[in-house]
Amino acid sequence: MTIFQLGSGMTPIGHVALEARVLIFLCGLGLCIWSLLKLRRRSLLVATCSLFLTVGAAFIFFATFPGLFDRLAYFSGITYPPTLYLIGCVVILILMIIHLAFRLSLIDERCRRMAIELALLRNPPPDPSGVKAELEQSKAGGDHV
Amino acid sequence: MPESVYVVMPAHNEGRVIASVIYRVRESLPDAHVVVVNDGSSDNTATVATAAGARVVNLPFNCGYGVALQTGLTYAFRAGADIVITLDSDGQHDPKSIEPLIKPIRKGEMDLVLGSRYLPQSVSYRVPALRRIVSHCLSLLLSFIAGQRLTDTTTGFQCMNRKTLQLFVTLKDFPEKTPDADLILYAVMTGARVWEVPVTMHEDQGGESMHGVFKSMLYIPKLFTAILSVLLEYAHQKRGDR
Repeated sequence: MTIFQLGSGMTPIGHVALEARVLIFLCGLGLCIWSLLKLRRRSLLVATCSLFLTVGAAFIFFATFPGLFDRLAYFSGITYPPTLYLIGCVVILILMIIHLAFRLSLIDERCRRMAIELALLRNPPPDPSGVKAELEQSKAGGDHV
Repeated sequence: MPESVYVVMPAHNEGRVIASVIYRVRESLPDAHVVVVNDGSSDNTATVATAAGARVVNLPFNCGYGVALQTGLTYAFRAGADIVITLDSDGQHDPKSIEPLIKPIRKGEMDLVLGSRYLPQSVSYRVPALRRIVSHCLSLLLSFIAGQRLTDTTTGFQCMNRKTLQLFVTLKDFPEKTPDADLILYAVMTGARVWEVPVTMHEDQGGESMHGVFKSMLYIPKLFTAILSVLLEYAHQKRGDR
């Protein structure tokens, strides 16, 4: 008997305890419900919502069928299945950062353009032909003097 | 036909000094239109500038030097400016130097003239050693890329004709953080005739300096990325021309 098999609630390494499965299931369910509520109130973008729904659905799926997750890990060449969880989380987080950085740059650029146009709408530049006429007039007046 | 000259001055919290800068600009160029781009100042910059006779364009919030400059250049372009001079509103750039700056443009010899603080005849305040070294290295790099000797590539004291103004205003990605070195490089690469003249520069008398130690450290990688962005934009444009 290994250290991982000691105690009543303990399970051998590589197996997920029932309590952990329930917790993962509830986390996935919570994430899905929260995303759908936000989507209904239009306070979450569809693209972001779909990402959260996918992650939530994956949580629910692997909590329901933990054996599949273990097999997936072994097929991927990972001997300790929770490592696959960690890698998956890191990859998702990196993808999210890239996506958000892209969105931020886009919004920053649009915000900048809007600020410029707003400033120029509030303080419109004079009509070029009027400026030229005014200049010619002042020049003629200056020459005359 | 007389040309319309616009002086564009981006300003952020410069209420203390901006009036004197505007008066000195008007002394040097009485016929010029002075445009102050108020970049979300929390002080009385806009009121003081208006009282001093400048046209004030108010940005809705603090957007940064690049956006303020882009706004001023767009304003001048839409107003039909023939010549545009850009200078800082903190009193660093001496308006008396406008004359040598505008001369080659008026003669039609140059498209963009830069006011340099590092030419032998320049009159400049004592630039901190670190900044001087960084500026020189940058100038060497830019001179190498541009194939033309440039001594002060971070100068905001510039004069341009309408052709160059149009080039900058219609630029797809106007640099928002470091719109000096990269704009100069872009102008040179697109065939604009660029020249440097010695000018007088004082230590800024205004509010916040842009070049603290920490900001300077961040400025360098940002600038290199900006230069890379210009090169990519240029390459993209070249491909589009073909």
